[in-house]
Formats: sequence, structure tokens, C-alpha cells
Amino acid sequence: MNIWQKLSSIDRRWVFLAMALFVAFPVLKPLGLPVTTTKEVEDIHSFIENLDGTKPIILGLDFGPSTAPELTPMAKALIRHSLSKGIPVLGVSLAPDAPGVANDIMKWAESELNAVMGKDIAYLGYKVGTLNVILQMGQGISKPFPKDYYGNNTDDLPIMEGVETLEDCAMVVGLEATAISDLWIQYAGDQMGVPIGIGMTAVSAPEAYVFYQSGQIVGLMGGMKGAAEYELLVNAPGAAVQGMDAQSLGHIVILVFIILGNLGYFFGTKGQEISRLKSLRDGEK
Amino acid sequence: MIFNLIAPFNTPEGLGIWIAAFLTLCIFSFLYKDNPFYKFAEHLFVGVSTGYYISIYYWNTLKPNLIDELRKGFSALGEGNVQKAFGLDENGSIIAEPHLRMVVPLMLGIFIFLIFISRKNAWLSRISFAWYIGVASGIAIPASMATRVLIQAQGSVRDFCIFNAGCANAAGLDPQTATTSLWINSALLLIGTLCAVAYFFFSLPSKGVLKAMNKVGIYFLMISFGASFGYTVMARISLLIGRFQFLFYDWLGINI
Amino acid sequence: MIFNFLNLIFQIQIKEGKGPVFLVLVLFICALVFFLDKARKGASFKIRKIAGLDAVNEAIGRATEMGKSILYTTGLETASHIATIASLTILSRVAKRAARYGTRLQVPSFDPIVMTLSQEIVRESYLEEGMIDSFRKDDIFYLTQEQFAYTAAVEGVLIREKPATVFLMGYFYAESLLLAETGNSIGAIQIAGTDAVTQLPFFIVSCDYTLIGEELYAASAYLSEDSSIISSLKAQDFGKALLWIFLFIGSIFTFFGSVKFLSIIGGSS
Repeated sequence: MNIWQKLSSIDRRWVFLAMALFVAFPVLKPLGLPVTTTKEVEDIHSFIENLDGTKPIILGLDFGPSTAPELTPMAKALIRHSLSKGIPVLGVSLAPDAPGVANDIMKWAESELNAVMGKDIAYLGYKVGTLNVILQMGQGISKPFPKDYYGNNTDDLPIMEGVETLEDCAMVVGLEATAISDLWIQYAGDQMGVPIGIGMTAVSAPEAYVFYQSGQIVGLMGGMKGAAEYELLVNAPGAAVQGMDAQSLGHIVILVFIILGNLGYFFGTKGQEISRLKSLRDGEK
Repeated sequence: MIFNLIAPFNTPEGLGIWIAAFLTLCIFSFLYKDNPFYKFAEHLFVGVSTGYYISIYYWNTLKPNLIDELRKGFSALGEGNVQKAFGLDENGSIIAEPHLRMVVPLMLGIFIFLIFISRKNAWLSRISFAWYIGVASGIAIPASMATRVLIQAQGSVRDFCIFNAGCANAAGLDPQTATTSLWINSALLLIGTLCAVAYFFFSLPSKGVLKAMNKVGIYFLMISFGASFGYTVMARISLLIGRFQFLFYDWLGINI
Repeated sequence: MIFNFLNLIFQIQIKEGKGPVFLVLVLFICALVFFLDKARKGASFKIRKIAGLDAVNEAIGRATEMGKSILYTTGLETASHIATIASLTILSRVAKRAARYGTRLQVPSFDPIVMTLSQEIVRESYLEEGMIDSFRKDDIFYLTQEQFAYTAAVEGVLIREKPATVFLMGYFYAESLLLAETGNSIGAIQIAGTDAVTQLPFFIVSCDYTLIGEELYAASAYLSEDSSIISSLKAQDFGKALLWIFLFIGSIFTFFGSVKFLSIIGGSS
């Protein structure tokens, strides 16, 4: 087996080990690599920046522990930004594994940002039905959520003063791990006319770009990078910014292995087969 | 010294962190090879998630929407208030709480279960599926058509409007944003869209102009798949970073 | 009378700003009814050959020759999802071949209703091949509705059972690469098909054949050999042709300054 064939058949465990080392090292010892912001994230930031604070923002906390590393920093940065502008945040969840994570985020906002539950922030909990919930919220937010997550009557919460339906809210920002973003865009956005911002895991973010391009959403945050950009925009670097060094090194590892693998593929067995066939054809000529 | 930095055993949060760290390492062990620790974590995950979802569906769906409503309905019936029992007010108008009207969706749900219980009566499940698919389609199709087709089609051609001042002003767009790069982007977007749509045209054989468009279309598709691949690699690494942050900061308490 | 009724509905739709959506839907439904009617009258429709379909038979044959099983997954969506429906049609074809060759077919399911449908479909396929005694109901089983728990369980099945052929047909989320990589690592031939755009890259790089997006629906129509299903594909192609013409003409009009086209096609719902 020559060097090229070896390159195209590297044991995957070496790849795992390399990835583990190059990702773990910056987590332990940050390198301070620069992070730049993009227009998609800046657009959400400036939209919230221009809100007058008279209406709350609906924050769709539609993700569970498996995607929390990407979306929790987004949620925290958004809540921080909103509360600094005096804009109340009303959290709802349409994913069944979301309440635990969402409750942690709300408790963080209470302790770190001195937010008053029920007045500055509120969490209405999880309701099964996704589409039905959004449609019902269009008729009355307390219809699918008669009580909040903590057992209080939704309509009695100070944050709900003057707010009855989705259309009474300044915008909806959906933090999504699945296709629930489509429902927010289709129903709350296109049908009810509520401005929509989306934060998605990096897996699903490419799908949302078409909505950003067509103007159906005001902005888009994709993955941990999007969260890091928003943290920088609100001048509060957190877990996402910390993770960017590891992200960069991880990408470099992937690039190196892709290049090595392709070199091994083209110059190795496949490459030799191609040149053998070529020389046979040349010989026939 | 290092043991002072590790999450404590003797608090619920600390114990939870230890269990989470142990299970994380069990799953990571699969990267080397399959082993009993991975199998244990996998089976535990399957079992706990099933139990969790059963609990969620019972407490969030079955109990408030069905059991409690039927209980209130039968209670009203017991008091002799038939109208209230069926979720009607004094004037006979429908109120928000359905009470005994939930018998109808209950029957539709039971019809689906007949597939498992009685082969002879399993045909009744078709009524439930027909209702479900009919309502879901009726709600979803117009909204999808608008959001995913019409507005997207508008978005594909809208940028060409910017290059004509009259059109831009009429459409509320800023003609100052008409740059060369926007022109190139708009043209590429249109060509890519037209060729990708042509790629999925199955009624005609792939010959001549259609074949050329298919080829261009597949190149556009593959470039977009490459971008999507890159994004997903980013997502996977982000999740790994999240796990390492948990192991190093929350479990081991290391923070250099 | 019908015309007056339709006109009334159209006026209501325009008043609510939904005119373009209504018009497009009516056009599409008319095309669908037209092609369905033609199909019922015996017309046969041709659709172009889809690359990767020959591989289905080849893959099943490979599993038979190696004396190993086939693993088929219908994805992580419910029975109402179009990709799942297309996948179940293909499952029927795969199950028939597996029954004919006596190859074991395992179908781990994410959704309990999909599991029920899969059991019915596979059972019918075995019955049609006269191999009902070989049908093993336990081979079509429900796992869990938690995404990564399902993935972990299917990976476990792949590692332990080592099927020769893996079919990944349906709608997938982030677990797509995990499943495809595990199948790749055991040396199975993998055929995937999904309309989940974000998951297609992973299937393309790690599977032997991939049905991209609508090719999955077309494949299920092609394999079903049912002219009424193919007629719906024809109606879809009609819709695509309309869209193509609108985009082409609309961009020209818009480039030369017409705003009317934008307002016609961009009507909200």
C-alpha cells in the first residue's frame, strides 16, 4: 500500500482523535482569534434596536438539550439585548424537550440580568400541536397557554397588559432546531404580518437563507457562529464567542483531512486505475 | 487540588453532572468501538426518552384536552346541565371548552387503535386518517403555496427591479443599491433557479437544451449541497464544543 | 352555477388578498384532475428513467448473495409527510423482492403509526409473493420518537446485525450522517432518498446512490407502476413548467421596469 492509498484509508479513529485534541485545546486555553459579524445577524440586532419597547417580543424556545450549545447563547444574548432596551420577552416552547432548557434560561435571566418574572420576562411553557398553537396564538396568546410554566394565569401577568394576540407583539424570534421555523414564517409572518427573526442550528440554517433573501424574515442567526456574532453585537461575549477558537481549529482539521483524503483518492487506487485505463487507450491509438 | 475543582457528589446538581459526564463518556467510547458502556447508555437513552415523551403527551395532551374535559362534561351531566355538558352556553352557542364534544375526537382516536385490535374493523381508521390528512392539507397547502412558492418566486425576480429607477421607487426598493455584484448575484440566482427547476422535470427526456439545463442545474445543486455540508460540519463541531465545555467547566471545573 | 360559485369564491379570495394563491391552486387542481381523468381512461404516461433505481434491485440481490439482511428506514417523520408516503411505496417494492429471494428485511420505525403501516405493507408484499410464512412481524418494530435515541438504536442494529444493504428513504434531520456513516463503516451498500435539502449532502457523500428531493417522489411513482400516481407527477410537472415560464417572463418584465408582475405573483396568503 503506497502513501496515497494509506491517505485515503486512514483509520477514522485517528480523525476522531485529531478532532478531539484540536477542539479540546482551545476550550481549555482560548486563542483569541477574531470574530466578525455578518449582515444577516446585524439585521436582527438593528431591528430589535429600533423597537420602542411598548410591545413584547415573543421568543420561541423550540430546542432541547441536544442543540442547546448552539441556541442557548442566542437566547441569552437576545434576552440581554431586549431587556437592555426595556423590551419585555415572552417565551413559549413548541418542542417537547424544550421546557427544561427554557426554564434554565429564564432562571439565568432572573439571576444575571435581574429580570422580574412576569413583568420583564415570562415563560408560558410547552404546548403540543405546533401549528395549532401558532394559529391559536393568533386568536389569543392565553388560548393555548391559559397558565404560564409556573402555574400563574397568563392573562394576569403584567407582561400581558395590552397584549392579546400575536399581532400585538413587536416580533417573533424563533430559536429552532427543527422545521418549526417554517410554521412561524408561514403563519405568524406571512399570514398574520408579524415580523419574524430566526435563529437556527447550523444544520438547518441554509434552508432559512431563502426566506432571508426574499425578505420574509428580518434576519437570521446560524449556529454557534450566529450566536457569537450576536454576543459581540450586544458587547457580552459568552459561551459562543469562547467556542469560536475551537470552531476554527475544528474546521481546519476537517479541511486538512478532506484534502488528504482527496489526494489519496485521486493519486491512490482510483488515480492509478484511471492512469492505467488511459495508458491502455493511448496504447490502442 | 484537582478534586476540589470537580463537581460535588453530594448535591442533586452535582450528582446530575456526574451522571451526565459518565453517560457522555459512555457514548464517546463508541468512537473507539462498540462496547457494553455504549450499549448501556444507548438503551438508557431510548428508555428514558420514551418514558419522557409518554409523560409529556399524557400531561400536556391527554389529560388537559381529553380526560379533564370529559370529566367536566360528565360532572355537568350529573348536575343535569346538558348544554354545559356539551360545551354550549345558555343560548346554545359553542364555548371554548368542548367538554363532552371531545367524544368525537376520542372516537377518531379509537378508530386508529382498531388497526392493532381488530382487523375486521380496521377500515374505520381510514375515517380518522382522512379527517387528519384533509384538515392538515387544507391548512398547510395554501400557506405553503404562498410562502414557499409565490413569495419565493417574487424574491427571485425582485432584485431585477432595482436596476430600473421607476420600478425600484414603485416597489419601495432603493435604486442606490444597484451594484455590479447585485447584478451578478441576481443573474446567478435566476439561472440557478431555472436550471434547478428544469432538473426536476420528469415528463421530458433529458435531451438537447433540457440536458444542458439539467447539467447546469446539478452543478448549482452540488454547490449548494457543499455549502450546506460546511454548515453542518460547523453544527457538529459546535455540539462537540458544547460537550467539552460541559466536561471541562461544569464537571472538572477547569478554567485556565 | 358552478362558474358563479367559483367567481364568488375568487372575489372573496381577492378581497382577503389571497387571489394569486387561489388562482394557482385552481390551476394546479385542474391539471391534476385532467391527468387523473386521462389515467383512468387508460392513458399511459412516460416519465424519464431515474438514476439509482436500477441499484435497488442490485442492492437487494447483493444482500441475498451474501446471506445477510436488508435494513430499511422510512425516516423521522409521520405518516402524513409526503416523503414517508413515498418511502412506504418503495418499501412495498423492496419487500416484494426480499420475499421473493428469501432475504430478511428489517424496518426500524420512528413513528408508531408508520410502523403499523409498514407492517401492513410488508405483510401484503409477502402475501402477494406467496411467502407469508416467511413474514416476521418482529422485524418491523417501533423504537422511540426521540431523534437521537432512535439514531443510537438504529446504529446499534447496524453494528450488530451488519446488513448488506441499507435503504434510507424518507425525511431525515441531523441524524442522517450518523446513520449513513455507520452503514458505510459496516460495508453495506446504501441507497438514500430524501427531500430534506439540508441532509442531501451527507447522503451524497456517504451513500452509493441518492435520490435527490423530488426524485424520491418520482421514484415511488415509477416503482408503483400505478398510472394514477404517475398522473399526479405529471400535474406537478405542469406546475413546475408554469413556474418556470413565470420566472423567465417575469424577470424580463421586471428588468424593463414593470412592477405589475411583482404584485401579481407576490400576493400574500
